[in-house]
Amino acid sequence: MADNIVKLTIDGKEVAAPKGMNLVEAAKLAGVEVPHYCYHPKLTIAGNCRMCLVDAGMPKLGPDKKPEMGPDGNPVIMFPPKLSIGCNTTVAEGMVVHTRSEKVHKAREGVMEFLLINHPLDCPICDQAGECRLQEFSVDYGKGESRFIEEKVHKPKKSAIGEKITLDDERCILCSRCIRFMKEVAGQDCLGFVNRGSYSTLTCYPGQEPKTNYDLNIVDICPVGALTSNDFRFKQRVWFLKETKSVCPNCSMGCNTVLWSREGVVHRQTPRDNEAVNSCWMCDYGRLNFKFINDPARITAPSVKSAVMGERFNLTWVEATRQVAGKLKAAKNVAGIATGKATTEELFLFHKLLKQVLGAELLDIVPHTGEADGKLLQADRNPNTAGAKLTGCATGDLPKILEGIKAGSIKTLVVFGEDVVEEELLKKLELLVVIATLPGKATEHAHYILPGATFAEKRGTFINGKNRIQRLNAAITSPGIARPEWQTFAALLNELKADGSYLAIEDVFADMARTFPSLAGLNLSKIGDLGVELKIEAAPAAAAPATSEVAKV
Amino acid sequence: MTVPVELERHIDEIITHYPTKRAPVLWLCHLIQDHFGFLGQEQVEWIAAKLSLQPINVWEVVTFYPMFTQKLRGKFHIKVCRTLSCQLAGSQKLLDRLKDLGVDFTVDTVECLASCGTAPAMMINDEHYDSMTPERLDQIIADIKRTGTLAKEPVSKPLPAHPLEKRILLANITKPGYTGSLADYEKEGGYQALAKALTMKPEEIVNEVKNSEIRGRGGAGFPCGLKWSFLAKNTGKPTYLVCNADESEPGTFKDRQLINYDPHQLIEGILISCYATGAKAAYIYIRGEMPHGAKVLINAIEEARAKGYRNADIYVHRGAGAYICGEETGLIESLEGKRAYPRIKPPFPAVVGLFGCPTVVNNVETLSNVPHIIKNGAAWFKAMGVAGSTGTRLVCVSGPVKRPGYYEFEMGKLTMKQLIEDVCGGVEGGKKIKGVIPGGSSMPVLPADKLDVPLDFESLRKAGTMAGSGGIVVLTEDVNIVDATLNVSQFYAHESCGQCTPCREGTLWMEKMLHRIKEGHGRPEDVDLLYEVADNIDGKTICPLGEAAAWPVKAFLKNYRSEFEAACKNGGKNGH
Amino acid sequence: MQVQRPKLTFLERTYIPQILKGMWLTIKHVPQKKFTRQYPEEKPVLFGDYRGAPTLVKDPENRVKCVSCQLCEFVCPPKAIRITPGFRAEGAPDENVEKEPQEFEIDMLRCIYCGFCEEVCPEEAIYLQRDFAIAGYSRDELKFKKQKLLELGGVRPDSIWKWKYKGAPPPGTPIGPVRDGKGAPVAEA
Repeated sequence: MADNIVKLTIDGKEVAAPKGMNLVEAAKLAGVEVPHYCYHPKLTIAGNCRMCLVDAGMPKLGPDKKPEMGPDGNPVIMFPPKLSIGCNTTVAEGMVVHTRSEKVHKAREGVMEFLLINHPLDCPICDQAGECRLQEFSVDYGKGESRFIEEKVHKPKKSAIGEKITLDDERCILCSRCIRFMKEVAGQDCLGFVNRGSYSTLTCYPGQEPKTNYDLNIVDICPVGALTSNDFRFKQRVWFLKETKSVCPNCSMGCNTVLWSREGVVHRQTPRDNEAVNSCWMCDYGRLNFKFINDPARITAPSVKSAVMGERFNLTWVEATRQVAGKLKAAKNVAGIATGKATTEELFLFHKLLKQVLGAELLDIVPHTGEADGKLLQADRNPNTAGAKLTGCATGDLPKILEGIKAGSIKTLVVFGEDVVEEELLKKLELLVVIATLPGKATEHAHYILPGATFAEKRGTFINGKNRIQRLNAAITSPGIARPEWQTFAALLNELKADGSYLAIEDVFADMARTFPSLAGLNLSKIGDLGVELKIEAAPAAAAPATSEVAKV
Repeated sequence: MTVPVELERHIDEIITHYPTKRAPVLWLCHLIQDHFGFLGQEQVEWIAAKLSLQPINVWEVVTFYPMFTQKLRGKFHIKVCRTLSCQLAGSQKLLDRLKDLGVDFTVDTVECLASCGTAPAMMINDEHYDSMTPERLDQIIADIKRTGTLAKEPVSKPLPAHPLEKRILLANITKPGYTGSLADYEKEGGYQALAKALTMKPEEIVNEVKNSEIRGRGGAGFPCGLKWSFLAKNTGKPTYLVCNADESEPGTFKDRQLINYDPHQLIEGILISCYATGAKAAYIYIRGEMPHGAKVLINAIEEARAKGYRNADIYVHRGAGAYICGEETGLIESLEGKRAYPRIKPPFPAVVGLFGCPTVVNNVETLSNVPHIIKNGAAWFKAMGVAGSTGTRLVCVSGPVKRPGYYEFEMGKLTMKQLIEDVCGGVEGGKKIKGVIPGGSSMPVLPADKLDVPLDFESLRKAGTMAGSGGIVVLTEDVNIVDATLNVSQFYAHESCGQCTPCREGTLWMEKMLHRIKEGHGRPEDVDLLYEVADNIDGKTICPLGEAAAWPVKAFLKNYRSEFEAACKNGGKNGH
Repeated sequence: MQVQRPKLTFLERTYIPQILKGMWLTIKHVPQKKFTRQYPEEKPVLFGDYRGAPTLVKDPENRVKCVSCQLCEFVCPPKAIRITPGFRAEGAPDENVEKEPQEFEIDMLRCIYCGFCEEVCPEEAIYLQRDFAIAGYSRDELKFKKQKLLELGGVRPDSIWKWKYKGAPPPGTPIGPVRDGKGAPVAEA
């Protein structure tokens, strides 16, 4: 047996757990859930909610310091008179833990009742309803009716904790997770309890509200509805929302996320656990930047600009593909501008279309940068710069393209996913094909507009700044007849008789896996929910702008 | 707001007493509040800036400790003790007189002022008043109104010894003319034990204390020598010694005497203990309601330092009205300048304590015993008392007995009955005893038929209760048990720090329920519900305050169930 | 599977006996007592637990009871209910309720009058009234909006005062019968 592994018994099941692990985590190994509120694996241990009480006993040691054996041949186990809290009790060799005994159950029922006596019956108006730990555990440990007939303690309701969060102190169970998160992870010691005993109240000092880029994580970790997000406030009940595993498209960190949607509308984005990327947090910038998905201005159908009147006419996809393919085939001096926000598959097909089929010389993506915050948010705000590099779309030739248009050496431009360049340049072009989701300057001047899909509407992959390939899933369908761009590129390739083999996204990925050695042997299923780290020789990470250390979160 | 130069200099000096920037928060709050009268937003921000903290850190502290106020109080802040012994002695009568006094006065009730033997007690600003009567109160208020100032209240005289007592710790103060000064203490052989100790090896002292088998006098009764030997060694961190002088268990008023009358005995004990444990600094955490004691200690420490007794630095740290600071990890948190939230164990303070360093926390009485053990040897000490409970013990008797007060006895040599009947002269007016709380209000009550129990740790444990802090409260037949339980529950609901769910919610629930029962709105099912609520708190919390709140309620319910049932049946009237 | 046609006799193949039999059945009823109800002049008798159109009710203080918890929307088997949650007006006397429906729509063409919505409602804000004659000229007209639902529901003088008294109604609160949208108490059949 390895030195750092101990064996213990939890509810009759033998478990091997690493030394130093607490009983809440060890119980998970045994498939047992220990209910808890204040404990959070990424924060210091407070031990105040008392919900994770378990009965943990140790073998009785004889005078020779060896476990004493009972008449049944098993070690005699000594249980302390008091129950222990699972979160602050570490595993030990020979330990025996009961998590479902009558004593434990009764203790938890008691704690549950105490938590509920001063808790308001706000469930009908509380955004947490449906994902509230208090609701969940009262199913297991609640009495179903209240024995508390006294007046409840009243505290402030609906108070602002910064601009992003609303606090309801009556709902707060004082677990102190948010206080610990702000202090330990977000790095702003601004929340605290005031008053004492049952009157203790969570608050922030006036004028010192949370203002980090990570504040909204406290809404996620709040086990009850005390902290709610203003952005999601009263939008939808969570039980209507469909959860789709996705990846945040706002920087090269690629935080794993869940998109919560109902009937084609994404209502919120929350972080998803991934130890290799974002632990269980995400930044507010990324979290809130998803409103473009359901922008009413979204482009819903392909269109062509009439050469005579300058009017736009909508086209069917068949017609649009035929016309665009025809025009592109006839065009000379083609260049392409792609986006680092596109999936690797799309960039791969775009590269193939422009370079191999249309013979474009220049092709690049538009860099987007910002300030890195030393935690999760990276300076490179393109989620897929590494993918663009891998597929050959990121070349650094963007200035040359602009010069070429100015000089007249580039007459045809295909813009994919970006809104670029000065109108002067756009006017010079003989053929401008724009693949976009939202209207902008480029679409205004485009001869052809082909509607695209946002990250929430398609499948595909992003490669983050640390060369981890991660998978997107489609949460909703695109508005109108807009469709994922890879389908558009595949249709154009087919129309141009270049390649007709891409019927599904899997086919595109399979072709990529054949083309790039670093993807060899991979497919979308193998990438899984948590992604796979790639071995890319000329590591783009080195070239990527200022990738900062991931905070130890 | 401007802080006077003088005050800021004092503050700067206080800051040097602590290794962390946060620890002086309580001291600063006291000093700033004394000057400005309250701690508003400006004051909080000034303190935060002074200590380079976030304002929330200071605000959390200000709102936790009842002695701090965010609103300006009247010039004269009257604090009347409302806890059990004072209530039995008629503190309500005092409160009834304190109405419509005008803007210069603010009247509050406070939890136990540790003056139960001379109940009812009260304070006006920093002055402490014993054995109050409504007439005397009227006189004091009239004097204040006439003169516009507060006259100094002399500290009451020490009580003479009873023939059945064996005074060791109280020996000096019984002597006529003893003032507690360094000169007086040295005259009685003071600091000889320290001199002897400094010639011994620290391990020898630890062994001597271990062999004396002295058990902690604070309440839990943990063997002191064993506690010292648990201290983590060779950690590369300093070791701290903390003297727990946060005496606030209702019914207990022994440490107050040891500090007020004989501070050098304690200081010598601390210096010896520091030498034995390797501590270079010691803090005396004295409760905020004892400003006189704090002054006495600061003077005595100065005297001792000047005289060269300085093998460790001793600092006085004032609390601010939180019972929970009597719990050792709550005390440590409070010393670090935080809300006194007891810590989860492990780690124990002996490993990770004050400022993250190995720390030993001992009660005043325990440390006061140390010089005597060193001077006379462990064998001498062990010869007193009985097995498992060695030495003498200070007990504090309050309630309607003829001679309430503090007494020192060899442990186990006297029964509860003897103490009440012989030493205290029996109950006033010849009333029958209904029960006795043997060790501060958190200990289960001893019913009248069990009073033959000897006063030592083991015997009391066998009788189903505990020796606790030595605060004995006698309850007579005319005491309404529902009222008494409510009084005790109110104390714990007020003092619950609010950290753990069961204690935070349960204590207030019990208080509200008992209040309702007292008001005559009890339902028959409330008796069992009350017991179950208490049982749900018991043993489920981080610190022993959960038990402290649950045990008395459970014991009262067990022993006097019929009274509760009657209260729940016939509209709260107890049939007397 | 092959189904065998029954073999008909000659008489049966003429269909005459069948026609006569049918005519006899009809004619038999001519002298008997009529049991056809002359609707709409003559209204049917509704029983106590009759379930008619679902409506939104207001509390005795004329406040909208619905807080848009969307449980009815969730439980509705034919998915006839659609709620757009919203905020209660800032500064309103009942601001503490925080939430109310911005829009509340019941598609009466979908509604199956099962009463689940009434049963699930934690605020007792939705009640099935006794109206059964729901007609309109278009599908859209039969999508009842919040305004119409509240008009149909009217004020319900009941004991639920959750948002004002946190539990018990003030002493002496009349607890009256269910009222329909027109304000007249509905007689129990």
